[in-house]
Amino acid sequence: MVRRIISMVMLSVVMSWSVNAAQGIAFIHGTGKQTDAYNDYWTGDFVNSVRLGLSNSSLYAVVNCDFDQFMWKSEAAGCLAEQLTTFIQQKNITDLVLLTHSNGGNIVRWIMSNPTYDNRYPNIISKTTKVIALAPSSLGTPLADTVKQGNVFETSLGWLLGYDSDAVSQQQTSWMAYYNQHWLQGTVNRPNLPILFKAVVGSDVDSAIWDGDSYCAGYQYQVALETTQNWLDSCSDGFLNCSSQRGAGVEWFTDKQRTKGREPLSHQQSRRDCFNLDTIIRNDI
Amino acid sequence: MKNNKNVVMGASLSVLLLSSSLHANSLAIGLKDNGFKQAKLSEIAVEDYDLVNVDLMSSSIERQSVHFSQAISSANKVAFKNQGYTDISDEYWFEVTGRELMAGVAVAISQPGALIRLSGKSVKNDMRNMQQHAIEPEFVSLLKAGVTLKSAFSQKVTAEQFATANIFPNSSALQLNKTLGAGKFTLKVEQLLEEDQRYMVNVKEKNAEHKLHLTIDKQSYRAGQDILFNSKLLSRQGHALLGTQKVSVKLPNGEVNALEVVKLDNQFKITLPQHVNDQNTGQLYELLIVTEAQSQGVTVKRNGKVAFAVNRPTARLEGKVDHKADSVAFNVNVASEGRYEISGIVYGTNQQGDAVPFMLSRSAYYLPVGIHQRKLAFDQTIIDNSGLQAPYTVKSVQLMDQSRLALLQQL
Repeated sequence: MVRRIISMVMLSVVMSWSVNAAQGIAFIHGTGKQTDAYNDYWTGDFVNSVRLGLSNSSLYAVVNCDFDQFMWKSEAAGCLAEQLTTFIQQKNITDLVLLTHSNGGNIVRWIMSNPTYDNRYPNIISKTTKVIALAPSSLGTPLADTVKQGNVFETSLGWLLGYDSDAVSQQQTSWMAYYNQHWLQGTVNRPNLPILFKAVVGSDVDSAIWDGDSYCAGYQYQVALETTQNWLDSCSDGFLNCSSQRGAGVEWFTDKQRTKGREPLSHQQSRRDCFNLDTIIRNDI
Repeated sequence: MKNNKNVVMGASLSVLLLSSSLHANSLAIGLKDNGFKQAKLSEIAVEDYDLVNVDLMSSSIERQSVHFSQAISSANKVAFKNQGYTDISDEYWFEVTGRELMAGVAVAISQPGALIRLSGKSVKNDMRNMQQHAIEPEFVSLLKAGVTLKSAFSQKVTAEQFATANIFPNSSALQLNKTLGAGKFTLKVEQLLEEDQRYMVNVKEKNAEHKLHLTIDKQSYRAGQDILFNSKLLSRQGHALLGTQKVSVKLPNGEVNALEVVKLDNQFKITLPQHVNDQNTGQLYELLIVTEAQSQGVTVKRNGKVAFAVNRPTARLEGKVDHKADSVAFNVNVASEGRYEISGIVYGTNQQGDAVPFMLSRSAYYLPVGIHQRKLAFDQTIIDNSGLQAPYTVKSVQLMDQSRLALLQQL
């Protein structure tokens, strides 16, 4: 009888926690300055499918920040911290899942690795239960180095090659090695991140014109990303080597292990509802 | 500012937290033998460099003191030593004008099937007319000994295709047919280009026999420290090619300076230019190497680059270390107003008597110029949950300048 009462009390405690715990998800985009990431970066099909995994599917936020900046800048991590803090406060979020894509993983790692840099960071960390990092550029990419070749300042002309973005500078491979060594956690020989950071790895690009799977998220992107693979390892998503995507935290899965039809996820496809990626994430949260 | 009395320092320096238990109400400040064969810290030596006063570059830096501790995995072998980096390059690049491309530029190919990318440069903040400088691959030809080669390219990528990926703007690429082999070729553009327009030519030789291995001894230097590096053109079997190299450094503001190189035994030493205007917080320097060598009559060209930080000593930990129940207090000598973080890894003792890392603690403060005693605070809950016992020690103590993103000290 006593045992039964104790069990009932425990059950009510668990139920009470379940009722009070508010799980939310934030979608955090990659490189670029976003003002409407819902439509322009993720698409509604992806966001609305993933958020069905929440008990209350209205508890989601789509972040819009300037991730063309270095990760520590107020326009980048500062903006992200502000939007997450507002989301946590307004929705009383107690269990926050962060879903990042590409360089968005680095901005989140900045916050997780430098909790004393900004007084908003510790509260975000304490509310976050996991980070699902889609194709994170944790070790940078040789493509960023290539874009920056010849990008030198000349006093009279100021010629530049490519997009003049600090985020591209940051994602050069030896730059990321420096930031990983001294400012970021979660890579080899560094302290673990305070929160689980689990990566989804894109391993290849399919652009066969006769293969319908090449058209998910746009055929033209597949063609371009297959070309850029020439600068990358045999295992890459067209923008990042697999080693970079696996470079921080833990690997959750490599695309073909779980995707429908064992299809690879290109860097474009890993932020879209391609090959059941949306339902895999939905079922995990 | 210098003080060298009663100092104990070592490569494995540690701070003794407690001689008995963290739950004790009062603690012995002095150090006792904690059972570990390692140096213990009662006072931090003042190193032989002067601190500098530097203006604060950002007004948006946090002013509130923040403390944070996290549990860390004991299985993870954490290395705090300032480590080096090796860049391995199988490519080279150079800059040409439109005039030169129309006349034909020499390209050295050491690996059959090389990929050549042509990128038009654009004026900063003027991206409006970028695409008009793109080169159409159909108008590119390859010559050998003055003769235009038929079927020279196995793949052609247009600027429109690259632009779709948002990666290589204003660029096109051509992959050489593998049957052409290695040797000297001339790349010529038959399209009408602006004569003074500048282009980058990148030759990527994936899976090449010879690669440039550029190694820097660490990635974070204090201003004035020598920078040591090594560069070798190695074959897959590890045989080095003798050749020439040009060395330069790219400053955070983008300026490129050629450097004098001093040969030391098995590495090279460079000294950075003085009076660098580094108003670019967190941005890095780059060591740039251009090499050329001969292998069995074929020219092998490689460029390499590796990034590093140069930090000015704006503050340091020095003098007496004060051990408390929930923290360790350090003297922070601040020469430049700013925000500083003290961090350390806390070790406890397991049942086998081994020191095991279990907590990373940090405390950050906004500090004016002067000497301040500030504590590195610990989290009692993490200590309680660790299952580890006293004695506890702190290792890998670091001081970071958060306002200038600089590693200042590692103890």
